[in-house]
This record gives sequence, C-alpha cells and structure tokens, in this order.
Amino acid sequence: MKKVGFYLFVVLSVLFIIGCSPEKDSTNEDSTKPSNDSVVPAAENGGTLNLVTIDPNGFGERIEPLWLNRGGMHQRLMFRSLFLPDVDLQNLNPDLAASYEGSDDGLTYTITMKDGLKWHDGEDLTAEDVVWSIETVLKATQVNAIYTNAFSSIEGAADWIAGQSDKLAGITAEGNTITVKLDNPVGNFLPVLGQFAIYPKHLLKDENPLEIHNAAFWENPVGNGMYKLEKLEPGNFATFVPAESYEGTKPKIQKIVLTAVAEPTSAAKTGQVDFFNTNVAEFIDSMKAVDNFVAHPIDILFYRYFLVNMEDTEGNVNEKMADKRVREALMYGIDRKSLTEQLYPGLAAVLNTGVPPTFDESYTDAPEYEYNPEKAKELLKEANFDFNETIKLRFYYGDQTSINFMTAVAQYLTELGMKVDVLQFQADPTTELYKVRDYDIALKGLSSFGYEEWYGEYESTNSNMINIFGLDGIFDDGVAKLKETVDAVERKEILQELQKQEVENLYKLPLYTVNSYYYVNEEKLKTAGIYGNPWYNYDMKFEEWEIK
Amino acid sequence: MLKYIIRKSLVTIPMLFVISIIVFFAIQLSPIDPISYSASPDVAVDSENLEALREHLGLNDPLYIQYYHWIIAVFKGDFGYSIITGQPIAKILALKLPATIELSLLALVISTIIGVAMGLVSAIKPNSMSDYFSRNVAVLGISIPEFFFGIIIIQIFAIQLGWLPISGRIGVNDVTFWDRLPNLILPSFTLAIGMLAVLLRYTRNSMLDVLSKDYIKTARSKGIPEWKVFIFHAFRNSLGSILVILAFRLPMLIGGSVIIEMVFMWPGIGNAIISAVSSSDYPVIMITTMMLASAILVASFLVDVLSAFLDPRIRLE
Amino acid sequence: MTMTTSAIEVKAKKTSLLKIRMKKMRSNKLATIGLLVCIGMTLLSVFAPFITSYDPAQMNLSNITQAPSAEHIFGTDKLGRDVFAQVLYGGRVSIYVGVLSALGGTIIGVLAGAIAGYFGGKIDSILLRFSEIFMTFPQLILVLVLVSLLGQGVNNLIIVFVITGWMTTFRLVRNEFLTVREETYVSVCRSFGIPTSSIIFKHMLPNTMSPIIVAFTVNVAGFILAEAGLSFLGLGVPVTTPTWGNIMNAAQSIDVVTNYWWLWLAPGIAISLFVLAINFLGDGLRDILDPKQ
Repeated sequence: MKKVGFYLFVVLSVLFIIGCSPEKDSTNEDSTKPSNDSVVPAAENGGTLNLVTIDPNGFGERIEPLWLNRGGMHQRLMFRSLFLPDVDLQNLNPDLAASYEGSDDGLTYTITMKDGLKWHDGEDLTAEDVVWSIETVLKATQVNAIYTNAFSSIEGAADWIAGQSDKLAGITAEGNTITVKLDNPVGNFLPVLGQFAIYPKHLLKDENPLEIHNAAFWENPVGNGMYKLEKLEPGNFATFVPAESYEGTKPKIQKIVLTAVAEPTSAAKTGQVDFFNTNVAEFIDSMKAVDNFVAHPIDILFYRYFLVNMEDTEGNVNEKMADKRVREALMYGIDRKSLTEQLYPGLAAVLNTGVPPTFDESYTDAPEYEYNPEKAKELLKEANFDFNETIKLRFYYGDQTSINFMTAVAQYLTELGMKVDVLQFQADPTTELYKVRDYDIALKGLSSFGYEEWYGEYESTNSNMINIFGLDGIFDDGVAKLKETVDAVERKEILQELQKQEVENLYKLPLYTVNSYYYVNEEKLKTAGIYGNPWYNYDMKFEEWEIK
Repeated sequence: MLKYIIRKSLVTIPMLFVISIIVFFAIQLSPIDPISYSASPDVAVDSENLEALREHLGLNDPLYIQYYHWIIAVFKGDFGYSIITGQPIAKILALKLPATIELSLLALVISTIIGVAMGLVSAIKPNSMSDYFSRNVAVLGISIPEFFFGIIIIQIFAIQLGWLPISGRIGVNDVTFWDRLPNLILPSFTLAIGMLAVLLRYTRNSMLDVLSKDYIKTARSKGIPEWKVFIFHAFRNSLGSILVILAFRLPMLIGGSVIIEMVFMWPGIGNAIISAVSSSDYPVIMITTMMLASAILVASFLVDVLSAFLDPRIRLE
Repeated sequence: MTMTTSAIEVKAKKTSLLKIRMKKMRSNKLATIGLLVCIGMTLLSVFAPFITSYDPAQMNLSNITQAPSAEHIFGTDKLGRDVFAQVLYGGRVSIYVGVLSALGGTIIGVLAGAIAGYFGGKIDSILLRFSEIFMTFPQLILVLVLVSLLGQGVNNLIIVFVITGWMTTFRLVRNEFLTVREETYVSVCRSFGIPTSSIIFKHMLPNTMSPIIVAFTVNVAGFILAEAGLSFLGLGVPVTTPTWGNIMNAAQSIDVVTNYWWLWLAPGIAISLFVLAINFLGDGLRDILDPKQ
C-alpha cells in the first residue's frame, strides 16, 4: 500500500515540477545559451542565420518547388522572378528584368532582361529560360492559379495547353528582349510576373511538365538568387551560402541554416531559430514568454470562411441550406466576434465580405451580422427550417485552435436548436470538398494574392467550385471585369458591386482573416524591418540583414 | 532440422502475396486521392492539368491492372516511385531505414540491459522490496502513453535544462555518430521504457524457473558461491528463452515506433509510413508494408527455429 | 446420475477454489488496489452527471483557461469548458472503447480458438493461417488503412481494434483446447452424447478461463493506450468527442504544457492511472490464477 502511494507521489511530483515551472524559463535561458553557441559556431565572417520550417512531419527530402507556393525565405533567396515587388506586392523593381514597357491597350508587354545573368551552376540565364518557364507552367500540375489565370490570356495559350501547337504563339524572345502578346488585358499581369519564379531550362527541359514538381532536380536545385544551396541532408537540414553568380549587392550574412520543428517556441528558447513567421494562435500565445524575440504582426489576405454546399453541376439543390434565411441565421447565431477575440487574440479580424472592413474597397453597407441568437431563431422559423435534419459540419485543419473553433460553432448551432455533427475530413480536403461533397458547411481557408481569387471562386469556370455552387455564374461578368482592370478607382467600383452581390446571395459565409506574425531574435539579428506576406515574393532588403 | 526450416520458410511466400493483395485493394478503396492531396485547397489551383497527371500515372486504370503492373515491377526489383514526392522508393528506404534501425537498435540495447538486469535483481529475492520496485517501475513504463512521456522528457531535458536537443537526428555540424548521439538519447530512452516490462517479467520468470531446478540445488549443495550459481548456472540456462523474446522484437528494427518518431521528428520509416498513408501514396505504402510483413515473418521464423533448437520436442510435432 | 454428482462436486470444488483465489486476491494488495481503482474510475465516469453539475460541452468564452479553483476543481480549457467534467465524461468513451474492443476481440478469439482447438484438422489449419496473416500484417498500417476506410467514429474504432486484436486470445484458447481435448473427461462427455457446443462451452472453456481473463485485462489497457496514440496521430475518435486521448492530445502544444498544466495533467493522470490499475490487476490475476503457485 505504502509502495503504491510512493510511486504515485513520485509520478505526481515529477509532473507538477514540469507543469509548474514556466517562470523558470527566463532564468534558464541564460544558462542554455552558451551551450547553444557551441552547437552553432558563432559569428565567423558574418555569422549564421538559423531558419526553420514549421512542420510536424519534419524536414523533407528536398527543397519544395515554387510554382504552387512562392515559398519561404530560403526559396525566395534562391530563386528570383523578373521583377522584385515592394512589400505591397504591386510596385515593381527590376530583378532578372532590367526594364519593361506596356502598350496602352494593355495587350502587349516588352521586357528587357539584364545582361550577364548566371545560374548558380555557372550557365547563362537568358530570355529563353523565361519563355520556357512560362510555357511549361501552363502545362504543369502543381501550379498556383494566379499564374494559370494570367498566362492563359497569352495569345495561343489554349492551343498550346491542348497540345495543338508546339509553341506558345504569344511569347517570343529575341536576344535580351521578351515580347508578350495577350488576347485580353490582364490587370495583374506584371505583379504576377513579379511572383513567378524562373526555372533553369537547361536542367529541367527533359522533365514531363506534369511531373516537374517531382523532378530529382529539387533534391539539389540550382537557382538564380542571392543564395545557393550548400548542402541538403534529407530529413534533417539544409544550408545556404551566398552565390558568387549574384550580380546585386552582396549580402552580409554568410550562412543560412534551415531545420524543421514541430513548434517554434522551443526552438526559439534554445536558439535553434532566429527568425520565423507563423499564424498559429498557440505559437503566438507561447511566444509571449520568449523575451529576446520581437513580434511583428502583418495584415495579409488569408481568409477563413464557411463554404456552403449549395448545388451541384446537375442542378440538384441541397434543401437544408437552400433558403438564404437559414444561412443568414447561421451568421447571426455564431458569435464570431467573441470567438475570434478569444481563440485568435490579436490575430484574426472579423470579415463580412471578400474585402476586409479596414480596406478602402470595403462595402460599407454590408451587414455586420452581430451575434443575435433570437434573430437567428426567428429567421430559421420563417424559413421553416426542419430541426430534425442533422447539419454536417466539416473541416480539414488539424491544429487545436481550429478544432476548438469548430467545437464552439457546433455548440452555437446546437443552442439554436439544430442537430449538428462535426467531423474532420478523412480523405484529402480537395476530394472531400468537391467530389465526395458529404457536408452542408465546411471550414475553408484561402491564401490570396488579390481579390481575384476570392471572387474567382464564384465563377462558373472554376472547375472545383461549380460542384458546390452550381453553374449559375451570376458573378461571372463582375469577376471578368475585375480581372481585366488595372485602375484603382475602377477596381473599387467593381468590387463594391461584387460585394453587394455577395451579400445578396451569401454562398460563402465569411468568418475572419488571419494575420501573420514575424518573430525576430533582435538580440542576435538586425533586419531591414520590412515584413510582408510570407507566401509571396517581395523585397525584404535581405542584403542589409546582419548578425550582431 | 533443415527440413523444418525449409518447410517454415516456404509458407511465408503465399502469405506475403495474400497480404500484398489485401493492402493494395484496401488502399484503393480509401477515398484519398494522392493527386489532389498534394494541392492544399488553401491555394487556388487550376485543376485541369491534374486530371492529365492522374491519367499519366495510370491511376485511372482498373485496379487489377494497376496491381499487375505493380507486382511485375516488384519482381523485377523495381520498387517504383512515390506519387507525392516523385522519389524512387528504394531511395526513400535507403534514407529512412538507417534512422529507424539506429533508434530501435539503441532502444533495444538499453531496454535489454535494464530489463534483464532488473529481472535478475527481481529474481534474486522474489517478493522483496527490490523485486517490487523493479516490477512496478516496469508496469509504470507500459502504462504511460509514450507520446505523453516523450513530451514530458522533452520539456525537462531539452527545454528546461537545455542538456539535449529537442528533436531531429542530424545537426548541421554533426559528422560522426558520436556527434549526433545526444539526439538519440531522448527518443531511444522513451522507446526503451515501454519495452522494459516484458523483458523483465520474462527474465524473472525463467530465472525463477531455472533456480527451482534440481541441478541448481546440486550446485548449491556442492558449496559453489551463490553469485556463481546465479550467473554461471541459472542465468546461462535462462538465456535461451530471453533470446526468443529478443527475436520477437526484431520487426521493431524496421517498424520502429511511429509515435515516437512523430514526437521527436525522427526522419525514420514510421514517419514515411504516416505521410504515405495520409496521402494514399500507394507505392510507398505497399513497399513498406511488405517490408514490415517480411520482418515479422523472419522474426517469427527465428523464434520458431530458436525454440525448436532449444526444445527438440517442437521439431517432431 | 453419476454426471450430476460429479457436476456438483466440480461446483463445490470450484467455490472452494474461488475462495482460495479471493483470499489470494486480498493478500495481493496491488491487484486489489488496481481493481478498486478501475471500478472506482468507471463508476465516476458512469455517474458523471451526479458528480459534476457541468456539461463537458458547455463553453464559457468569458472564463477560459482558468486555473483550478473551488468552482472548477480541474480548471477550465481554452473554450471555458470544465476540465473535471471533461475528464469524467471522457472516461466513459475511453473505458467503453477499451472494454468493448477487448471484449469483442476476446469473443472472436475464444470462438475461433475453441473451434480450431476442438475440431483440429482442416478448420484448425485454416484458422491458424488466417490468424498468422493478421499477425504478420503490420498492425499500424492495418489500423491506419482501416480508419481511413471506415471513417472516424467511436464504433468504427472499436471495429478496427477488434479486427486487429483477436489473435492472442485465439492462439491461447486454441493451444489450451488442443491439450485439454485429449483429457479423459472430454472423451467421457463425448461418449455420453453431450452436444459439442455444450462440451466446448460448459466443460472445456471454464478450464481455460484464467489465461483468457488475464489476456482480457492486458487488452483493455492496450486499447486505451492505442486510442490515445491514434488520437495523437489525429486518427482516433472524432476530435469533438471527449476521450482521455483527445483531451490530452488537445493539450500537447508547448504553450499548454508550460502554461496551463491543468489541461494535460488531469487527463494524463487519469489515463496513466487507469491503465496502471488495470496492469496491476492483470499482473495480480496472473499470479492468482496461475495454478502452479
């Protein structure tokens, strides 16, 4: 008897010691630091910058390709685009291109490349590489829609994609000059080129474009940026050093080490990382206890919303959700404000349309759907909602805050008298959302370069979304106009119209946008102080960064 | 004996075949589509080319044709490619197997040494304080969820004390095995804890069994010192059954512990299996399954042979 | 006539054996404590509504992550739910999964084992091959594939556990039956024309009960841990159902581990304590039921 008690006591006391000692962190930090310095050799001509990817599955076997996600810091530093945008992603500076010219009708662009550009392996980087990259991306599979949307307006793109021509007619290279001819104006053509990473033709031309994202090239990629890959230890780490071939200002930091962690806070405490970004609420909360790191929040267009399963391409309507008053009731019945404040403090902002309320283009007459369970119940009653039907609520994010969010939403709906069944999708989200379609409401996210992607989801040409929104295409005209327009005033008008339509139809239930946070160990690292959307290419003036 | 070995080993081939069929068709029934898996719905993706890729990879063929292609290729020694990363599976195995073997082997050594030692201590004085202590520590070891234990020791030794790395296998400056030994300590210890109980119980019981035998009494009556009786007579005779238990553990060298690999971000085979299953990357799942199944078959084969060797009666059955 | 008297004798013998075992049980303190803890925790979960007035699903966003207090003895979680209520109700599902899976596995194992062991021959070798295939199958892959096929759900998880967990009991029962089959009383029964099912279940099975019971307890412990492990991998019971595994999994982030110890300590101890108790009980039963001692 005594023995059992003794063991239990030992276990409990060990558990309590760990549990109750967060205060010790700050004092322990000092004692851990010296040992870390011995792990990573200290400042030797410029020092080492430690980066991490946050991935519970650990470090991969390769560097990820860049046509789906423009990528993290290391990818931005390894691969360049024709232009280097400012932090707003719109204002373009020369990068691989020296200059450009656009015709007044917005149908022709002439781009002049810099002279003497080199790949990291010493080969010449020419206009040929650019033309080949644009041609290939149109036939590739793991591709962000911003590229396919913009480049499929190039003359002859349809024939080229279908394999009916052996050349993309609208794009030609002559010496250093690239000429692009479009069928119709594309409002964000140049900003998209500012994102589009150029791949080396001489190393990838024999790959099947369909599988270019799986080429062996990515195990040892040859880039064109400020840094080149020094070593990649599969499953463990990668290191990068400044590339001799880079023609711009030489960076001060002499080495970058990239590892993977499941969560960044422990890495921050132990010195495994000097700089990272995250939008996970738990990490942001736990980073408050790490003193030497400074947080820099940034606003980005990363949406979270409920996708309503309305109608398939055959015109079969989901009766449960068909009445707009039911969808409105959901908006009034969920306390979005309290939820975002408690679960995503300082991280999320409530959203009422595709344009966040703080932006100029926002539609000020959009209802704010303030929490009002009585109104919600009334709306449900008016709509003759059948309370015996079970509402299938689904999600695919595995992080705890999303799980908590969905649990809470289920609870709100239960309080309205609805029967709810919440599950995380079993299969891959894309198949579940657009093929299996066994849900009424699903939580979805969307990382956007511009409003075009949010509104593009309503288009009847969106091969995924038509499976749940049907083929009505009531937004088609407005979205097409938005995609062609460059002028800011005109765009604002179009967006006002689109938002009005959105409020009238309520196919997507907007929830909130998620900000991102950059964390900098300012005791060790001096940055240029420019932080932008971490998923896109922009000038963070990395050459000015230094290790103190 | 030889006949017995041959008979036993011939049974394994049809067994592997049946397993491969079951796994193949079970995976194909799963709703996960490896092609759409690799594109997150958070990023707007143009899906038309994806269909072309699916066709190109033969994923639209009837299942039996896919299976036929697969098995023919395997017989030719071609393990195929991962659908998700495009890497040759032979290469994935070459990268991940050593990590898992390294981890499991160390855990096996640690748990064997501690387990057998504790079993011996228990057997010296059954029902004594030390017997109680070691037996209950072992039971405690199998009662705490391993991920929980892992998280706790990471908190203590990596974060609070800062003595050991949090996770990973090879650091940037690690060149030799000794450089990366610190990375091994926490995961292998966590893995070993859960394996103590069986070894301890087994050692203790077989020791007690042997100690009650007549020849031990004879040895004692001859006036041989007690410790010599214990080590040279009793322990040596119970070694056989301990070896049998170790043979049972062999599949672990390949399977490792998936959960521990996840907690410590160990780039091993368990890690590969989890990501393959969650993305329905069937070429990878098939090969890892066959490999694990073969390991289990080899181990149970070894157990049979060892037991037959130790106890001739089994052979005649 | 002789049959009935012998049956009575057997019964009398049984009760006395039972008495001896009870006595042994009482003298084995750890096993007794294990048993009491198991029963106690199960009762607490079953009668949860009488023990706590909180609903485990009831959120209170104005009262999140409160440390333990008189009002919430285990504190509240990130949605302001009462952790004590969650642990109590979570025990229901965890124990349900553990016990029912072990029960299912035992029933299948006993049935198949009895049939294989009693009849021998072809049926035996078929069933044996079958069990060998299941044993050879990498368990983890089998579980992963089955979970992704059947979908998440408490009952689906039990099905998966039953499918992957019947083989030990099967082998145990089969081997016992193979030896018992040759004993005199079985051939006596047969010559009296007693139906086969009656011979198997009334006469032979009771003789193999002890190892089955021990295997059962080991399986309950194993399945409860397996549920927690699968929850850790995100493949267990739906995340919104409170189980010890899910509550703990929700609390594994570093921020929770260091700042909100009550969120993981309670479910962590609950799960470890219950499994520990069952393992002590199983260990004790092994000693008590072992005829050699």
